[in-house]
Amino acid sequence: MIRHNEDTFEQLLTATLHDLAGSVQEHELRPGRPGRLPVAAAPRPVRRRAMPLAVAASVAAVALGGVFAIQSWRDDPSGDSGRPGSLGLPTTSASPRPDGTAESLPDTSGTRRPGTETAAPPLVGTMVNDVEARVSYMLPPGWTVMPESSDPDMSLTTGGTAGPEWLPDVVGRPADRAIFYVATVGPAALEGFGGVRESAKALTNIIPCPDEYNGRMVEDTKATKVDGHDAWYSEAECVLPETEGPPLRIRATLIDTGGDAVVVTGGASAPTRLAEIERITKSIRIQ
Amino acid sequence: MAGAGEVVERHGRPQAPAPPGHGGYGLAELYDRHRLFHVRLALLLVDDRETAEDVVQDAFASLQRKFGDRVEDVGHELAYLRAAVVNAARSALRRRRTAARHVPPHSVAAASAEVAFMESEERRQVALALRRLPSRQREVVVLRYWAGLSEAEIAATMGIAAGTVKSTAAKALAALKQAMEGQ
Repeated sequence: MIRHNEDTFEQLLTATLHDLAGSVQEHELRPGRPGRLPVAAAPRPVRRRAMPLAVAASVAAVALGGVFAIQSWRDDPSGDSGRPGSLGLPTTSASPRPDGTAESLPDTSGTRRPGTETAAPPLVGTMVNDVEARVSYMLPPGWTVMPESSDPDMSLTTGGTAGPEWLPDVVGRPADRAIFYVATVGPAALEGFGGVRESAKALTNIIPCPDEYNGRMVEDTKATKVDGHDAWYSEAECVLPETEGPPLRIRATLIDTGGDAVVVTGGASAPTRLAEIERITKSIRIQ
Repeated sequence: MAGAGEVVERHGRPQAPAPPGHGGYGLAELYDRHRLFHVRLALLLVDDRETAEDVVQDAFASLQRKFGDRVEDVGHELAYLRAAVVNAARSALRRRRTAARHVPPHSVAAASAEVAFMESEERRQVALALRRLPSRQREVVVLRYWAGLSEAEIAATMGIAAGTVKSTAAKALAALKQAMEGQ
């Protein structure tokens, strides 16, 4: 049995705490960058354009030359500019720029909320904190945060494996490219479809690539959890012309956050990139 | 190009880091100066380094959301940061307790490496006793005996009354001593 008087016990307690705290040294922390927020820990706000109603819903395709075309999904589901298979949803497309850059683009292991699924291995990369969407996630090394969309109807944060000056001839094989983005679906759109789950089903219908790309669903609106929130997941693949290797896979997840729903979409062909997209998705934290 | 690993601020227009001595400095500098302290604080509250770093990361993210990238009132923002770390640590422990209900008992009682390698047996016992304290008592002990905060500062950090700090500290010390005497 150990007995202590008040002073010596408090001294012992203080010494113990200093011992424990001193076990962490600066050089042992995750790497940082002098004068900047460290890569692994920097909160990274990404401003999203304040826009009326529209919300992006899916990355439609990796276009020729490796540039992504992106559809947006307006809040008003009653429009008539939908493309085949889109349930008549009005959409707008961001076309590839002539120089081959992406027009607009997409993009959290945080620690973790109750109900969070099995923790993914810690990602080292860039943490993106989307202030307006209230979502954060981690982009692994090799991924680039893309510029904001110039399309006023887009509300996206974007990550991709190439930067805005991305030229098809300097970035390696098209099959190694990938993209990931986050968008939100406002209450009007959710209501228009009859709720979050129904919106997820509608999303499923606009994900498949156009007929000419041999689009097909791989997973059709499956319930899942993201950071403890109910979510619906679907996956499609399509074969793009003039590309070699495996088909493009597009994975979309609609997350019910209780407010604006969050749509997370990733697209890639290479298995390694698809695995990265899965890890990014697992790193999502709803704030 | 916004390459992975770089920090790109997107608040509508580029923001140059504020130089020190001109009404404040940047969040990055605050981070550089105070990260280690807060990781250590978090470590004392949650026991493992990875979680501690995550906790501090979340706290800085919260700080940035609230105050932006320019630090105007260092004292005020550090107080906010400290409270954010304590709150995030408490949440982490809560989640851990929830998770622990679903794993076999023998797998949750292991001492951390820091505790296992303490040279003094007496300190090792104190460290183990600390881990068994209720969250609030542990927070008070750490803020008082490690961070050296006053009762008023602890009260502000934890969002409780100063009187509660005093009584909680007394209970914590009694519990620790009792645990030690029972060894």
